[in-house]
Amino acid sequence: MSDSGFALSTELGLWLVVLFGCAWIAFGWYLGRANKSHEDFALAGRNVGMALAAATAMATWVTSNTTLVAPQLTYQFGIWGMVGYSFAALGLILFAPLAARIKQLMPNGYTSGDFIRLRYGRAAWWAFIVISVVYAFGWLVSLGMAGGILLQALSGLDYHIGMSAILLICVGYTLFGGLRAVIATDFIQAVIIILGVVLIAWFLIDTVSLDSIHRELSGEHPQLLDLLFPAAIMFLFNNIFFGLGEIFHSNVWWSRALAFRGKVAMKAFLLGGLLWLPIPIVTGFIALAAPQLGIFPPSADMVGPMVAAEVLGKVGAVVVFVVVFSALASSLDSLLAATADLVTRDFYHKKFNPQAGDRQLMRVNRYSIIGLGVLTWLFCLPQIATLGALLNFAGAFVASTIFPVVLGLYSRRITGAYAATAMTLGTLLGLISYFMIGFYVAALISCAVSASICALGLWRSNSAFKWDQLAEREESL
Amino acid sequence: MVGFKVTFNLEGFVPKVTRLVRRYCSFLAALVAVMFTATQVSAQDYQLSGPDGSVRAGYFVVEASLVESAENPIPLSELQLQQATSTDFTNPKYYRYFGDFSELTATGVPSGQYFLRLVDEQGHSHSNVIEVTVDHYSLWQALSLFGIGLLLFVILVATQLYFFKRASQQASQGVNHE
Repeated sequence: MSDSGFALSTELGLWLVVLFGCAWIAFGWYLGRANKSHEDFALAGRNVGMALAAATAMATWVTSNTTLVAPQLTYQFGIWGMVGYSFAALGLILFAPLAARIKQLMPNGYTSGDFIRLRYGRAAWWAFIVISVVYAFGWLVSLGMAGGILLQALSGLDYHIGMSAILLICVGYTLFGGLRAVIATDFIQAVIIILGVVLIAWFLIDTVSLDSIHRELSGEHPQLLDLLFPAAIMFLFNNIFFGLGEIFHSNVWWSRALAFRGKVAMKAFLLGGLLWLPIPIVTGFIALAAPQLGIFPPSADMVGPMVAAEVLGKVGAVVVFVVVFSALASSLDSLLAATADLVTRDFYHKKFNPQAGDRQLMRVNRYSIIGLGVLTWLFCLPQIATLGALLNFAGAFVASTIFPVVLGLYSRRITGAYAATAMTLGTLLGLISYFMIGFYVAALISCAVSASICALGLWRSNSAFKWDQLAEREESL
Repeated sequence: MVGFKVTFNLEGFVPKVTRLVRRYCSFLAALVAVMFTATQVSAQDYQLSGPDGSVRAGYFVVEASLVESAENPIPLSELQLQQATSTDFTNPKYYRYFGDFSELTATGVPSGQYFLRLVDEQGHSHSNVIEVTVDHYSLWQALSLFGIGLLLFVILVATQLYFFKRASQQASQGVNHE
């Protein structure tokens, strides 16, 4: 511990950021040399193999959510927070068959926005784009904030400096390397994350025994062990639907499904989900040791790094830094790349300049990455909410897309009007419940409303969508 | 007789003196207590603030801000946040602020009314006392939402399984219909 009570000195924290930043940006530049077309840049040439595919699915889903929010929710909701969070793996597992279907229906597709526009038409597309943009910014802002929070918790470095540094680094290497760099760095980051998380948990159990943690919690913080903890029970399925909504709608996952080679997509998402499942259990468990160690964080989302640094000292703090930094970077770059694709393809190419050539699209894609980076930075400046609260606000939006996406991929009967109404009303009622009840019900209510409207659509509609419409229009690119 | 009288008088005098001494001691004790309390009250180096309204999920943040008029305040890292269910702070629990942070998140707190203040190692108060009410959601409300969630999840998985099987069968038969 340094004199200030932080595990690392501010100077060392800064040095770590600079070293990592230079390494990732150089790697991104190196990989980016292979990008010859916009398809290379945006979809890594649609040729990603099984190992990289599974690693990128897992690593992208291991994010600030897993390394910072899983401990936060465990600290707030106890056992259910930890177990409930790991159920977010269901998002990857249930997306696996959808990924195969996406690849089958849209072999030349680019984005999730493409699918909604072609399948449901303009009104649903607008509802979907609003949801996607709000979610993308919610996630981007939460990742930027997480970077600042991480450095502040470990080294006392000012939040604004840490947040700016992490955004700058991720924008840098995504700009140079595109999706190819994103997937390659994800693979390395996945290995770092798994090793680091196991190392931290091992040392934690070795230092603070399970018995003493249990004794402290049952005596002083009994709600955390209570399986009938009301708010935690309310949170459980909300978290599942939030995770499902995030993955089912987001272009981060659609672009991966489209980038994976042949029939790799389904297996890769299944394997990625299974690899991801135990990670929140381990990272969440770290938070249960906090009261025993006398750690009561200023903000619940700082508990993970603070406990790890306390138990492992300076070396541990460096390990935590490396793991969380990798997790943040693996998600931030994916999101920047996928959202920039959405801006380039769905807005610029489809709305403003259908004649744009390949080189021009690549240039617009890069400008979009820079623009998104700057906007995210502006939103991150005021630290407006805890990470968990911020993310779950987005839950009200994304959960409304689950049934429209699933039914849109399989059923020919549901129409655009029902899909648009389901997404709009689901989001609105989800938001109302977010403010009236709490963040732990927003996604559940949103999904329930959207599912009811979709069911009505299936029952009432007699239309028969032609699947080849999804493939035909893509040939124009 | 004199001896008797003296003895008698002494016997009557002693209880009176004892009573007087006791009263005087009580007065002094009360005075010291008042002065001590006054000292405690005057040593309010920090202003505590907690959540507005009742807490529904068992965790809350308590912020300690330094009072402008505080002279030579003890650093927050050397104080403890004392939590009890009564204003006399019997059977308290303690939390510590971390590093230079002036906010602290308490968690896993059961329903009830809690009083919090900052104390030093001798137990002297260094802040105002705040009151936090924890009132968890009712179990039926939580289980109702759990039930809705479970039902919705089963519907989703069943829908996906149904369509996935159907699409696989159609693909194997070379048909591309719903």
